[in-house]
Amino acid sequence: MEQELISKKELLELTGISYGQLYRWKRKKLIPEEWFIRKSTFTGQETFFPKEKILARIEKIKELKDELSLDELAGMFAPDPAAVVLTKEEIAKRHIVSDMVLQWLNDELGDRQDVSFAELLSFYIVDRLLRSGEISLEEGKNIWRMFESHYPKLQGKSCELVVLRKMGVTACLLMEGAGGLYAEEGAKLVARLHVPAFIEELKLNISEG
Amino acid sequence: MERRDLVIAGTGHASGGLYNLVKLSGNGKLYGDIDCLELQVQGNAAVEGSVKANMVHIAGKGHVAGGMECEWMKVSGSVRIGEHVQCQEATVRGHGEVKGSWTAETVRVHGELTIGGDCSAERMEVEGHFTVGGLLNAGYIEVKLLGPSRAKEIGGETIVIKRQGSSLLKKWFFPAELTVDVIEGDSVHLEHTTAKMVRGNRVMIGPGCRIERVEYRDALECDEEAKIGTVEKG
Repeated sequence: MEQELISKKELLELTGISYGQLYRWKRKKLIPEEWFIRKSTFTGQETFFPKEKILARIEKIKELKDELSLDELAGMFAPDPAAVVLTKEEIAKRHIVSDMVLQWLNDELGDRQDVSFAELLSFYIVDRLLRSGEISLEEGKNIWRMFESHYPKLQGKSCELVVLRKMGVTACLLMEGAGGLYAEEGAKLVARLHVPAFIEELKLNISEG
Repeated sequence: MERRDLVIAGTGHASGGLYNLVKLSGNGKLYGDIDCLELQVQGNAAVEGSVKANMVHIAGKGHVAGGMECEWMKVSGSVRIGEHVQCQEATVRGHGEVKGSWTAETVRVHGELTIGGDCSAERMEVEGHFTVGGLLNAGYIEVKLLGPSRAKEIGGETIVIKRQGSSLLKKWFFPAELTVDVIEGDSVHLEHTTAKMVRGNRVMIGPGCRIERVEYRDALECDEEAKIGTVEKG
């Protein structure tokens, strides 16, 4: 479960950005501090990045930087959910979640029309897991419940959602930061999701609407 | 809550809270966090908490135990801040010390600057000497060295380190030199700098430099008096 790392030098070569840009994006908090991983090498201390995440992030910054200012971009990448409130109608209209989850969202919320970003986020993540066929609807509801009760404590921080299954029994957990994870033998890692990535997706989804 | 003025002339102390203008002339002490529009210190002031203000003006000596958040900061004399500083524009003439990190748009220092953590700004101008415990990260960094300086890492777009002329006595005892582990920038101009690694697109290594390793992309210029280990074009 180790993530692949890329050195700063390789990253700049691969993406064609300069030191100045990288440092400016770091300053503007477009690249989270925790992605700067320091390791000692034969030339002294070097900075490494989680390869997949940083490449995806830089691709996205390049793609969007002509349309949005750096500060707006920073707002979008921040793990702090925007103070957005959507109505059920809007969620349905924009197809943010599948019809089945929408139905369930309707049942859960009853008559209430407004849905906060954090609430929507949990439905959105569960919807993604359901769509990929990794979990059953019953498991989805458990994940959603866990999210509802624990996510508020982690708001504004980077966290990961982990779903494990052993002999047909599922457990899910929220993990602060991005540490290593070692599971017992026979346990299957069903999903490990980086929550801020979904926040970005969802923010994009909403702002594009 | 209504914002009122707080004026201490002579020796006195007050509690923190919400104020309009806080003016401390003489010897003033504030207990607790203060939130004001303007903080003026003439003399000696201590805040046993954090400061949030629009404008901070210290002539003399200021000590803040907590952090500071403001738009403008102007110091003539010395300021000591126990935690992090966040501001738009800061000018320090004299001595500035920040235990935590400093985030700003523009930082101008004439004199001495000590930062425990990282320092990030769009523009950073130092005339004097400085110590940064972590990363000094700015779009434009211009340093006129007047004394021994140190940083762990420096990164940015344009980095210019130059030496100012100083007296003979000072040259012997407090050599105006910068020591740093890594310098990375698009355009790097160095004088009297000791570094393990310098990386950049356009690099100019001036007199008095000792660099273990230089990596450059477009152009490299070296002074004859500079000592350079390995050079790599990447």
